[in-house]
Amino acid sequence: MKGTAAASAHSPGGRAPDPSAIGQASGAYQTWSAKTWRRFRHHALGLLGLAMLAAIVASVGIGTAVIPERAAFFTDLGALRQPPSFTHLMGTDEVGRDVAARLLFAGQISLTVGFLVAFMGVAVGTLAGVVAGYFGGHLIDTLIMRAADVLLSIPQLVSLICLASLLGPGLRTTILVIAGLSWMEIARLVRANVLRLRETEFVHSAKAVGCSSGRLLLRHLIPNTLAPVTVAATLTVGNAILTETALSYLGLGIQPPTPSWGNMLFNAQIAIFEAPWIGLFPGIMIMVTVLAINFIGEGIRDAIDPRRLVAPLGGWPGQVRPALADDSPASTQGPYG
Amino acid sequence: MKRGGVGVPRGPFFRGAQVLVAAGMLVLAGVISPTLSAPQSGGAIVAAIWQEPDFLSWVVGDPCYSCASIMQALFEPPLQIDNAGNLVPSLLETVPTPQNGGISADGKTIKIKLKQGVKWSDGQPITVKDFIYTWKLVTDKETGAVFDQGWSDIASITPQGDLQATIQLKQVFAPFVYKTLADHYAPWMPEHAVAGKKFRDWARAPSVVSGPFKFVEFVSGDHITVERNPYFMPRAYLDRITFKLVTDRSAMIAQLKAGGLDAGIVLSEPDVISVKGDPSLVAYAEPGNNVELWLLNQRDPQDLSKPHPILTDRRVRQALLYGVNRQAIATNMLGGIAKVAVTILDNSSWFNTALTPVPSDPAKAGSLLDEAGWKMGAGGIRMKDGKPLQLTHSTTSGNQLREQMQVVVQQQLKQIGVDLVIKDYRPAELFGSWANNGVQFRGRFDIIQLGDSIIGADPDFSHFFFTSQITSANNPSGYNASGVSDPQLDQAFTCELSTSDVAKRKACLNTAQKIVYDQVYQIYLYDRTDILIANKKLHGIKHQANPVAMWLGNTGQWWVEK
Amino acid sequence: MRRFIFRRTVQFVPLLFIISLVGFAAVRFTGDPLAVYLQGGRVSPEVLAALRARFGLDRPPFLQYVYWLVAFVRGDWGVSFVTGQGVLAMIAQRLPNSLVLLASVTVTTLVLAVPVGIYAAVRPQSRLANVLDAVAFLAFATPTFWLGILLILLFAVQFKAWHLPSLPAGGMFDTRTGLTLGDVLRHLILPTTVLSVVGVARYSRYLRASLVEVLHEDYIRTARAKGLDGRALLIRHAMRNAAFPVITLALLDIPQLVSFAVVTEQVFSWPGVGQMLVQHAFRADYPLLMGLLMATAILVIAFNLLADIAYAFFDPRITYEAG
Repeated sequence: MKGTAAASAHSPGGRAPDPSAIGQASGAYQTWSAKTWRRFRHHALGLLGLAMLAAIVASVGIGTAVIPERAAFFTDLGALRQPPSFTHLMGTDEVGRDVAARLLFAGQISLTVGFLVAFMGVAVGTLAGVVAGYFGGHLIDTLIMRAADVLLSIPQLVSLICLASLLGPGLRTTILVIAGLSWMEIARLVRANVLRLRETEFVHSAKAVGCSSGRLLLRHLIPNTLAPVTVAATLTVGNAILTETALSYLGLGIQPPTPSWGNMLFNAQIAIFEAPWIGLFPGIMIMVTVLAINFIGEGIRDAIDPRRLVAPLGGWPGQVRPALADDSPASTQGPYG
Repeated sequence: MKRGGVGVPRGPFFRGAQVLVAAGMLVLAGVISPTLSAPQSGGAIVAAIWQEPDFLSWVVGDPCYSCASIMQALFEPPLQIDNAGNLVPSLLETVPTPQNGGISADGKTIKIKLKQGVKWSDGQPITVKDFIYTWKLVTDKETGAVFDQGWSDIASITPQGDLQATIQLKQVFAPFVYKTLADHYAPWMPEHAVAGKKFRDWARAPSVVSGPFKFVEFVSGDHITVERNPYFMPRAYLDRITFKLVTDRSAMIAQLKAGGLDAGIVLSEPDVISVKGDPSLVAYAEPGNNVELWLLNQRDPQDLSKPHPILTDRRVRQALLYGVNRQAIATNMLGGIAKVAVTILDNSSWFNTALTPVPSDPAKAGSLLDEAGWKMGAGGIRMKDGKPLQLTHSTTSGNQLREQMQVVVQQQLKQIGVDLVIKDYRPAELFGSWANNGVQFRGRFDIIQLGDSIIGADPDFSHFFFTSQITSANNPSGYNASGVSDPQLDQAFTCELSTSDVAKRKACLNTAQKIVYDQVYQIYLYDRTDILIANKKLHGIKHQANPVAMWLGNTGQWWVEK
Repeated sequence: MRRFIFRRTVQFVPLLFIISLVGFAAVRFTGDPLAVYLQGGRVSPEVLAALRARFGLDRPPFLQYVYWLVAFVRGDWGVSFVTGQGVLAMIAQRLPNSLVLLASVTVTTLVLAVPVGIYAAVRPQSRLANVLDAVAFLAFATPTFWLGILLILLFAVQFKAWHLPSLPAGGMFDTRTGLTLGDVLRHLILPTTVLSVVGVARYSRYLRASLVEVLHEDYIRTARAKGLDGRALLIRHAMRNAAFPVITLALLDIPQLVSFAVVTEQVFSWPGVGQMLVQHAFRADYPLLMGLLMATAILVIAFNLLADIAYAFFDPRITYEAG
């Protein structure tokens, strides 16, 4: 058994394993991240996504700094639903505001929602997952997982309405609700990884040798869990933006006059037959942003785990089959919306 | 050759002649029929509603306009109300009035007489026993009737045979004939069909009805189907109507355009703009009784025992009225269909014609605010005693048109130095009761925008303004949520409610309207238009000035081209 | 394993209890069930008080919960504030409609995701696989209601305007023709498409990733070395192992779909549970919301347990016992 473990502790580069590196992902921990970055740099899709996202963030950032806020909020009843023209590059909306300017300011809000939700979801989810997984089988594991069950059981709509009543509707409530429903998937993911790692041969053998399980777990946790969590995090950003859109559709999104891509899309409905461009641009922005983020996630995932591109020999030490853990996005939109 | 009937010629020649004549008639019919617009009997239509009724009887359930109307097709009231606001007999032979002795001099005794031969949809005759049964049903606590105005004022009903009865009221109730014999809350329930059953269950599927259509099925979440009632005279033209629930506005318009729907009921002004130019659709838009208005809180939202720090000053209220450009909103956002409002009685015959719409005048607004001590501050917002002129504006969240209007108004008021902060709530929270900490009734607002109207066809709107109706811990169901307390206004309303004489009521109501107008206790934005969009092939649609009947008051006269 | 199952089953009841408690508190914040009666001032205070008593709202909140709990335990899920009908009956009436949609989506997803996933796993660098990948990405990125409305505009409105055979724009069946299988299938096409788009994308990717892993496992290479060849045979062997994680995930997704396809049901006016949730949440219909909550809770807990069992069953190295 031990032999097999050693034999499978191959890095794709094929170097002979360094005994002190038993149980480590591939090579020394420090160069692992360098290797990962190198692989990412060669991943076309990931780079494309990064470029797209950079462009979006830059245009939103620069745009909102350069263009006066007034431009996005100024209603002009004389110029309702104008098609794109030189004065209004993307036309005007249902109350005469410039769509392009509004799109940029809405981007600020939507991107904030996306990233904050992902950050909070990952932070809470990772913590919960690590704790639950490490103490797998004990009371605290049960408590955490059942708490997740409780939150999952309450329909998202009810949670949102309830929180909106308590905290008042708006940006803060929206972020809290979506984040509150995103952490469960990540927790489950992390917990599954931790459970697996607990049982791997190298952990057992390392324990036998005398390493403390806590430190060991941590050193192995990061490379093994980082991949799926990062991927899940990027998917959470996308899903948060989409969920905000769905909430706007139900009338529970960001309140006027604050623009968000979601509520721009919702408000565009009233004029969809005579002025379809009002909804077209926010819709495209949402799609492009979420696409970019998903590309980045894909790039990260492939960079960390290149076996998908190259057929390896053996596998990661202790790596067990379910790729499912790597792949489960936090789908708070509901898996099907 | 067969033996024919008497006088029928036989033989090939006559056969040929018959064929020729028949053919000739067919040709003639083919030529004439496209130009005939006589109603054709038969056909089934699908009409869309965006909200489902809770029940199909007015006695219980939510009074939503778009769904309450379906009951018009099923139940016929004893009296109808025509577009001029006059009462017209329907099931009754005549309208009881003081002049014809139908209403006694003291207003407390009313005599009614049913027409001969009026029947329920199962062929049973409609009698005054059903009237008595309905009265007992409505006033019985077990039923949980929601609307008992007028009905609860009845002291006794004495039948004289099957078709006649004398009603004795407990006290004078001027709108009795309107509210309880005509209008939406008047139709009787069939005793022989309901007795012994749980009314709430029966009301979901009324087996026996009195209107032009009878009930077929109610599939919750999907549709309600009704078909022609053979016992209702005059017979309805249509075979059946299906009221389909369509929850998405764009989908409804899409279905109208694609022909999947024959009509969309209770739509709004922007919907008319969406179907403009579509040759297959007709938009019916008529002024209704609903008015989009602002409640201006006269009490401090933080402490209801204190007056509002900003809105108790009449000049501020007037400034708000001058500062909002209602005409621009009506022209641009509402497609020019809606009219700027003056009072809540705008489209009724009780409107005080001496009052005219106030034009937008930001300069005047500015000077009024200056006069009131609100001086323009650095950030473009007026200040007084170090406090900014900031007001929260609340309406129903998720209502696109209102949210858009808020943004426009926010900008218009910014011009005159008012900082409007938008704070929207879902309807269940905005209109929640005192016990539930609802925003409106707890006074947790500065300005609320909502649509409201007079109750039924009766012009009384005192419930908004009576001092005795102020919502408070002692009176949690009071409707005067703004906390308006004006002794002269109280007097005008008391005068109006105490008499059945139309002329006197009109005079008192004119006074009441003028006081509200001068004092700007409420800001009336625009008169909401009742809108129905239908396929060209559907004819006979007529608007009822009655705010509850609206479009479905004459479904019996609808017909569709084949 | 058996101990694990036993433990989780025992947790079921207390968990439901906690959910009902948290849920009851949450539901009470959805607003006032009497709000609709208050507009217009038509309803007298006596009637309002009577309504409040009828709904049990005059009792203190905790007592309301106790009454609800006692009734629930006895199988009485209460009566809706809005329709006066039994909550269980209402849910039972709408559930088949959502299940029809769910079944349609599941079948479509399965039929499309499996071949796509297999193909992408077996020929990862091919153009088709890349195209499918791209489509999958697009699917993930599209807002649901936007896609739904665009599909309606295209297939229901525009196609009709261009005199092409068009699809219906909403509802479950055409009331003019009545409830026929063909009619329901026609009405299912657009909502199923919207919901399947993301589903197919996800599951084909899961399957692909899972299959790729399995295909590179030692035992597969051994089998190949031994001479067992033919793609089909390998796929069958590999699929058996690769399918498990996907199934596990599907088990987690099912309860979500039953009541959470809210947006799609709203856009297409589909008379299912999701639509009922929206309509009644905005009416603050406490008993119905509690009923939906409990139904969802039961499903979620049950399917989570199934998923955990499947997961552990599939990989014996995972134990849920204390380490």
